[in-house]
Amino acid sequence: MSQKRIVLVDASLESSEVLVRRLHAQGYLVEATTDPALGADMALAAPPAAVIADLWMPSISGVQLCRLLRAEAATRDVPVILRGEVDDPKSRFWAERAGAAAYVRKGHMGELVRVLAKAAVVQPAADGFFMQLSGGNVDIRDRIARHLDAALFDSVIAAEVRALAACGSVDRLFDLFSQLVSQLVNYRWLALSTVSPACFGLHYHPHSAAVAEAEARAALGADLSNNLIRVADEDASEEQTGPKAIVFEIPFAGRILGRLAIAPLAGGEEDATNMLKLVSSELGGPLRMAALVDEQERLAAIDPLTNLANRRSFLAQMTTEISRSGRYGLPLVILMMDIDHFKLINDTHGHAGGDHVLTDLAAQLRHELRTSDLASRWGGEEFIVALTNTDLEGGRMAAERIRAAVAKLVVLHDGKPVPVTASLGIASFDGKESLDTLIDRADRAMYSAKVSGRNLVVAAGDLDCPRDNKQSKLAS
Amino acid sequence: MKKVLVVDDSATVRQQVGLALKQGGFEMIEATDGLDGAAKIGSLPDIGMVILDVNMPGMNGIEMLEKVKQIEANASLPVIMLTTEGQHSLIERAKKAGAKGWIVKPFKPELLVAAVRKLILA
Repeated sequence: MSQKRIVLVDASLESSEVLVRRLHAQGYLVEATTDPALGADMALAAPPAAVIADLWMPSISGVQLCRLLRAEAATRDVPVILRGEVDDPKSRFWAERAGAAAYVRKGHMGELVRVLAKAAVVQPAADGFFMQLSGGNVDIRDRIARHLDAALFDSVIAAEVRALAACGSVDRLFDLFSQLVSQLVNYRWLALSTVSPACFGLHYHPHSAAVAEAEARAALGADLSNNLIRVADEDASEEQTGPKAIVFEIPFAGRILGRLAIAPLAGGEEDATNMLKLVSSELGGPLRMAALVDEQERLAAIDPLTNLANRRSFLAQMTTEISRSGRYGLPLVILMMDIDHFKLINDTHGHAGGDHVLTDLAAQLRHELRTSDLASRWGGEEFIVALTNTDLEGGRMAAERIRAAVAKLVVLHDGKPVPVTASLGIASFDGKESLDTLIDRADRAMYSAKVSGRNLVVAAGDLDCPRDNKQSKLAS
Repeated sequence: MKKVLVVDDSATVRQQVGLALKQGGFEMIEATDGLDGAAKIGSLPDIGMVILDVNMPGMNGIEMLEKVKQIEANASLPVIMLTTEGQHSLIERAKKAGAKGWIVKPFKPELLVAAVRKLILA
């Protein structure tokens, strides 16, 4: 068996001699030098079983040497053992981060020998034809500078991607992410597909929308109907054709959150691959964070039973809506709906039966409304709807349609039909009242409908107060 | 220990290589061209490896390599080329003929010795 060859870089000649003797005794073949650059040369020229170097040395540090050997193809698998005067966590930290196999305190030769026995690799049999084409004039410092630059670029990009965690929504994340990547690599399109929430982001040149979408769909096999985020801008290349798309998975905590695809330009495949590999490995955390924020906001805004907006989110949205209507003189109707004899339904069919009625009724309500209308579960068996850009007569027609649909609704609970009716009250915004007042008027109209026999629509103007002229003018 | 045959038409290079080898603990046998080198491999039993120049009068290094390697007994004899040449086609030819490495002059003594040590002890 051939001896294992060790390259030893030690700034001090005396300590080096002692160590060389010790390692010789252990059967290692040691090439020692005090010059880190020469040590690197020796390791690169013929990869040894291990390299031992000081963590802190003048001119080239052990950290730099270690990074160089990790980055060069010839020495990628050669373990580096770094040594230092002190045994402190900081030295261990930097040795580990540089990619060292171990950090050993100087003078502790027994430990070094043990670590070496474990770490030293057997170099493949010498069919490996070696070349020293530089004639021994390789500038090690140039190489180190190049590798350190590359490492710095990578860590800056990684930090930029990780910082996207603070952006607060998946939509915004994809927009900022595509802005970032488009500065670093040229591409025709960039696409992101995520599983949960199901979402698809596509960044492309405005002239290439159709091509980009078809190609991205093919590359990611994603269902584009779901939550498509389109970012069209001229940061992306206008080229209509190019090399095959490159796809990377986005890992997070042991699972795959989604996939990232890029359509590189001809000749830019390698750059694009490297970039995508880096950013996809960093995107998982920010993506998960953005998805959680989205989900959190969604959950805070909806009623979990009916999936309608909850009271808080209704009020929040109506605050802007009512001031908009006031400012532009747009008509607006608030509709209150309360299920008739709901207590009786609960008593007869149980709470599950009551919940069943609420969900079916909410679905029916959604069906009867326009997308611009805002429906919400106000509480208990009470629902509230804002009919935007609708006057009192329009509101009355909508309310009547809803009342009739509810009365026709057959809720089947445990195979038994549960008859349902609702009482509705509407109020038309007078252009200046507060939201509270408007809602209160609708509520009182609904109460009147209850009193007048249920399964009815009553408008606020019909009863207690005569119709206001100004309101009619606004409504028309 | 086996000796290193250094084949080079330049006495200066042979001297430089000899010095580096001596410092590394190896002994040198000299040859001045390809014919001389091939003859010494055939007649001297204690040659453990060869350091071979390319451009030499008479038989050049590549030709010598090819001739020597045709002999069964020399199949495992390690040869490294030490030359000012860096042409890809020449390197490929040497590799194909069975050379173990290619070092461009001027060489760094420590690296040359490291390569010798690795090959002669393998």
